[in-house]
Amino acid sequence: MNSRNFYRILLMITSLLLWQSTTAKAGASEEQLFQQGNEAYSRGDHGQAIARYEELVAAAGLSPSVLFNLANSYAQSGKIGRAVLNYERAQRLAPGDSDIIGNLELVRKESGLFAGEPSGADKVFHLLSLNQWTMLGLLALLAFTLFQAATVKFRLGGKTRVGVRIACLLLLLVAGTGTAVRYQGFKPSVVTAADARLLISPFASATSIGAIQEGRLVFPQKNHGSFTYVKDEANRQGWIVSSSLEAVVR
Amino acid sequence: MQDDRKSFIFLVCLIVFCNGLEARADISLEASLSHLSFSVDQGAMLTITVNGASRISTIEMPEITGITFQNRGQSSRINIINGSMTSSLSNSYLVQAQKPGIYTIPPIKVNTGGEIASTKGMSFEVTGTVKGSTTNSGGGERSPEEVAYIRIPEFADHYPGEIVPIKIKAYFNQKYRADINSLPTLRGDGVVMPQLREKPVQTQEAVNGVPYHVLSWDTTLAGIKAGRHPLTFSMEASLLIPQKRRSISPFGGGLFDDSAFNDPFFDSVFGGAQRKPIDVVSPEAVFNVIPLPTTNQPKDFSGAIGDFTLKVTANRQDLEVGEPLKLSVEISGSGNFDRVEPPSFADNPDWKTYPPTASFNSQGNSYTGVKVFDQAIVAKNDAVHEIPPLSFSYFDPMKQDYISVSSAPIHVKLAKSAIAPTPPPPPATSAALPPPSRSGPDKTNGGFEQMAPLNVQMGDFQKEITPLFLRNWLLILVALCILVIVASFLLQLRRLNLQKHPEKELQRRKSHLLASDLKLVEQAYTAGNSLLFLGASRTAMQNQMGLSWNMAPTAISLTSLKGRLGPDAPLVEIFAAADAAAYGGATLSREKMHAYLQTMKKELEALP
Repeated sequence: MNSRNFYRILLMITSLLLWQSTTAKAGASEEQLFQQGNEAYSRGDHGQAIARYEELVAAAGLSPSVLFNLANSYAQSGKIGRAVLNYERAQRLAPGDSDIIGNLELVRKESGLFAGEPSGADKVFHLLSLNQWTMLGLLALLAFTLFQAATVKFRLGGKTRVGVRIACLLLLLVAGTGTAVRYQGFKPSVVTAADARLLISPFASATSIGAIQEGRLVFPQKNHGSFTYVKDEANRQGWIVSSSLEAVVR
Repeated sequence: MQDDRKSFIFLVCLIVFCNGLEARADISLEASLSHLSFSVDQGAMLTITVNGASRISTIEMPEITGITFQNRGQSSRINIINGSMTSSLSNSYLVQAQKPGIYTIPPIKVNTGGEIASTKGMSFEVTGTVKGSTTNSGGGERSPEEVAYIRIPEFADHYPGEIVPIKIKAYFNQKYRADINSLPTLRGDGVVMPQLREKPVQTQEAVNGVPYHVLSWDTTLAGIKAGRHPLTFSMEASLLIPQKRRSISPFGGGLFDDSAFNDPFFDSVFGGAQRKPIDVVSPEAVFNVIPLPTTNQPKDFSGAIGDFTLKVTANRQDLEVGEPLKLSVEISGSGNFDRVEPPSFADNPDWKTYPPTASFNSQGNSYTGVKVFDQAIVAKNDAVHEIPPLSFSYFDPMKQDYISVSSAPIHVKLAKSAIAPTPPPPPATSAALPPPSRSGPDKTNGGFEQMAPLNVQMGDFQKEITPLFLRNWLLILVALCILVIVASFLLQLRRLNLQKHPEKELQRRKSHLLASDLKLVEQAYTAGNSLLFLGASRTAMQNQMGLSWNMAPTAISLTSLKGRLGPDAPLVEIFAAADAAAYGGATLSREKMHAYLQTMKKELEALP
């Protein structure tokens, strides 16, 4: 081995060690922030807990656990809109988590955020989450693909061929519809301001249609200046100050 | 030294022989039963002992109708007393009877290696099954109540569905060791009892001066239909009977028979215990269920029986039209909360109501606590001034009458709407003015005591929230699936097409084969190797004609070629040249090879 190669290897090892050290340090500081947030929450200092969790989210990204704790902290400090926002985010990362679902329901119930009666179709499509519908569709597609590939190699009866193909395609269709329906509600915004109002026009002096409760989910349609045209869960539509909203999925 | 050893062996043999003679001379036979009276579900041990015999050849056990003998093995014993050695052999049999009665075991013949002896006949009595009873090692019987029993209170008359709290107490005599194998179970129809909790309360009580361990369970009973329902409670337990240890002394029963280790203390400590299953039962009690009175039964009576109070609250009183209001209905007290239904909000043109959610906060048991119904209601117009009173009816078993309780109306203040609500909206759909001055009933942490606690594991981080169907791996997988599907469809189409037109497939094969064969011929031509050229040409012709004439290529010969194409055909000439080259090693000029190649291409491509 000549000296040039030796120095190259030495440089690589040093870089690797430095990178590992940096990553470990970052991990340690994230863990520290998380612990500080939990400790602040435990002693009732919810403001401090929120600050630590928000700092953690800004530094490391989104984690269902951190978002859940952050939402709990917001709920305990009475900021229902931000609590709902973070529960919704956590739920999108961990759709089946019963703690997230339970706390979100509790916060909604205690805050009077009653949802309208879902239709029959809504009830069916809400049996599975968006990702579960997608996974179901993927499984149907994989089954169809494997069967299709198998028919090239093996000769199967006509009824079997048609039956399996129809079953797979039906499942794919249902799963695709489920995915589409659930995706419609995947990217709402949450009203985070306590005194938000829906307006007829995108002007501050416009006539108000009515109040919209903090924590309500709305679906932005278009923007105009500092206003956003939204439709809420009950299909009520109007303009709202954009700063009163925060998107669940950025 | 050798002589000394022989003398010693001879002496030992002599002693043994003499002893054997002596033993043979004093053979005696005994048979004994451990109990002369036992119950059907138990048994007795029959022991046949032969004294003075070194072996037992056969024991002829008698056949008695309804009696079984189970061999439990043989034991031997040797005693040396004052230099005199005696031996005995014992065979044990478990005697069990199928039904009660008095039985006689006739004399049993025992063959002790040539000599036959008989036991004396003996009688014994078999009694019926004694529930919960067991026998001690001495053969005496215990009554079930002496060991353990269950005590329950007496029941008054009750109504169907009424929750009747009771305490089940199981008493275990401290004189005996026992283990419980099950929780008390209810035996009886028409009455139900919830699952008992696993851990009972343990106390000690003296009953008639006898100390008992007492296990208590608090539970409830409820009659499900009118009538007299006899019931008992029972539980399975095991009585631990200390076993006498077998002597571990190699001189058992001999010199060390009175060893301190034979003290009964060691039986209890080291001897282990036999587990005797016992059924601990309560005396039979009658649970009398009388029907609910039909007179004066309120229309809204849902089957609630007990003593309840009603409280109705609203989360706020200042509201807007179309804005939801949370109405909490609390029904507290004691009784059958599973039958407590939410008071119905009568159809009202002013209010739209939504199905309530129910929660029950128990106060230590299932029949006392608070059942809360939270219901969303929405004012349809600004003419409403109050939430109408709600009423709840139940049957009070103490007063033996139906009671109806009503809440007071709750006054509300509605702000006028800027825009008239049309039509009656679900929660949060209608317009309202002015803006609400709240963002939830509990701005502080007071409302979220039931919240799930914090996560202590940080978990994995993601940079953004991406639905599964937008993730790259899934898109790639879907694309691959689509490619496979399209490819398999195309393959199937092609296969179908070829099935429909087999001549196309033949033509394709011919063309493919011709191309590859001519390539070899051209390579040989380029190399100037006439032998190889003619060999490859011959193969090419055989392959093409084999496919055209549906023959094996090797079966194509010069003769068959001449027969099919005619003797003057150009291909016949080339084939003949190839044959000649193969057998005679003829060579071709480059010009000739070129001419042959051109001819062959033309002729073979023209073949049908």
